[in-house]
Amino acid sequence: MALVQLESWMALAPTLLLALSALALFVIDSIDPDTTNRPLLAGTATVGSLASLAVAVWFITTGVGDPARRGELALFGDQLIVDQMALFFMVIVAVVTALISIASYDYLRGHVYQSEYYSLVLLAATGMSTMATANSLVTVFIALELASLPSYALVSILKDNRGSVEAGLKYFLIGALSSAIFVYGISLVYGATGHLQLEAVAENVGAEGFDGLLGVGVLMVIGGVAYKTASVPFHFWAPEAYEGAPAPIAAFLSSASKAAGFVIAFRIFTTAFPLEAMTEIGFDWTMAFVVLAIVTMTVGNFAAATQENVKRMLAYSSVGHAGYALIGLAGLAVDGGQIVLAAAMMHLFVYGFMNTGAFLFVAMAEYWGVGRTFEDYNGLSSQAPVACGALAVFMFSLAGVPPFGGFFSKYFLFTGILETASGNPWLLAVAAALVINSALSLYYYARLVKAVWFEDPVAGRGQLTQPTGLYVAVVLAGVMTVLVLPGFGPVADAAYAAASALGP
Amino acid sequence: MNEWIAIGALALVGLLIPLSMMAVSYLLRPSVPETSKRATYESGEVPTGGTRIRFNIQYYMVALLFLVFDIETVLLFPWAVVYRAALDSPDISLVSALGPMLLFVAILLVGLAWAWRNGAVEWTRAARRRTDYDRRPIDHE
Repeated sequence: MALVQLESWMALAPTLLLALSALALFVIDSIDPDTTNRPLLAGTATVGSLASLAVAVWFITTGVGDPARRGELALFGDQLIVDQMALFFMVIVAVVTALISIASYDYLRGHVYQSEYYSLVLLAATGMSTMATANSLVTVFIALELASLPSYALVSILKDNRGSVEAGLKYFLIGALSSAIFVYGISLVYGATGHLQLEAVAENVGAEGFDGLLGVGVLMVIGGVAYKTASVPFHFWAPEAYEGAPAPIAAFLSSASKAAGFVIAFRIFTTAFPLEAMTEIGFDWTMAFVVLAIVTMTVGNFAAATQENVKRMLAYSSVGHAGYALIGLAGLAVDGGQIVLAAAMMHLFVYGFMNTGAFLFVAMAEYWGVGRTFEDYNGLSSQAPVACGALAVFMFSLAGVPPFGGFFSKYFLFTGILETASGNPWLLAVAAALVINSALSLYYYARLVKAVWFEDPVAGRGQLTQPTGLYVAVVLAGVMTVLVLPGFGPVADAAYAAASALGP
Repeated sequence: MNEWIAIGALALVGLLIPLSMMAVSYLLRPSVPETSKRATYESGEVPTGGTRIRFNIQYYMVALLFLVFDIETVLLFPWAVVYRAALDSPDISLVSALGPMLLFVAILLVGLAWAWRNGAVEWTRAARRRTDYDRRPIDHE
């Protein structure tokens, strides 16, 4: 038991702290609009996200959201809910935000819009954190927009860089399209059930008799989720946006934003569209996710294997990883499947470290100005062995090679699918796709490691500086990717508790 | 009789009236082609420049700042309506009735102060060469 009895709205503290630090940055920028006090700005963002992280971890350890201990907290007439899954994803968002705030300290050197950058990052993080708690289709949509709108600006924050502006425009246009599809889907669900709050929707599935309408609405909601998680068929913005965006922002979008997209997918589909009722009206959405998972991981990995540009390779690999996480929904069944859902959450947790780290290495390469292709990275290890060591950890972890965190989450996914495959034979195809794609991914991840460690250095490359912030962030992410291994127990427990609390 | 038939008839009549008026005037009017009839402005003003002009970004700045006050009013209004009744009720304290609104206004004020300090309300006096085009009365409102 905690020493103090907090008010129930305080359960939102991890989100509120992010919003508060964004406001603090606005105040700092109002006092001195032309400030280039980078330690102060990056420090405020880092402290804010670390505080959010600390509070979220504290809540998890003291049992907030645990039905058996302090209970799930439904706030504002059930519009928001703080349960274990919400806290789990708040942790992921806060970790990624902290890492990229640290890394941006160096990356933004000489940049004009310092405080705008950090406040937009924190506002987007606030949106993602709210997405984790959203328990009604309205709050889901508002939180999604709160996360999306700053992201569009962040992608194109290098205003004088054509690539950055173009990427921002593409991201915005596709985002606007899929938001429209999503909100139309919500309106159809509302039309068919008469409710927006997720539990109320679940109670009214099939009650009004507009089953066809509901089916179309659910399909459109899947479309909106697919955009946010960069899954097929709305994945094509990802390589463009990540390539043009500043690398820390690419890390932010591909880790935190994707995790936030998945948390709303998990919550909407487990809470609002219970499998039992949906199967009764003839719309078994797990089939949709089986297809999406297989297609997404295959498209992502095969496209990644053909890339010459490191950032595009990572972008397609993040599409592939979205496919792995989609297995969590594909594997759900009327009487079980939580183990797969939990494995998908673990995968997103580990992914938050290894993928952020990989993109931050690219940020470091952009900071050095060494170039964008695999060849440009040749022999970097002779000049920056520590960072390249961390890169090797990220790559092998992303590929799912045994000693690292990525292996365990994939292993749990695989065993989880096999366990639930008895109820749904299609899951065997998903398991096969997972193995084949992981094997393929080893090829292109190892290719980057080979370029960095075994190729001869590019002639004429100058001395490489050692940017402190970027180094700290990359090494931290690398250490966490390794440390997740002994610390996997608590993470797995938290994920499993979160998944079983959702329960179909 | 289906009541939609009346709507359909109304739509039909609504379409037929303008079409028939155009057809009748086409049949009755004399045809006098003249070049000045084809000019953009029949007042005689000669158009200059292309149609793709860049609007001053500050139009949008003002619109965005307006939004701050607009949202504020939209929420303040229903709050003000129930405020007295809420205070009279024994369950609601002054803090819980007034606090959230003060917080909300404070957040908007932070936004406004930030925009102000960053020059959103300073109208730029750019040393732009004034052309005939600029002096023309604005007609793209």
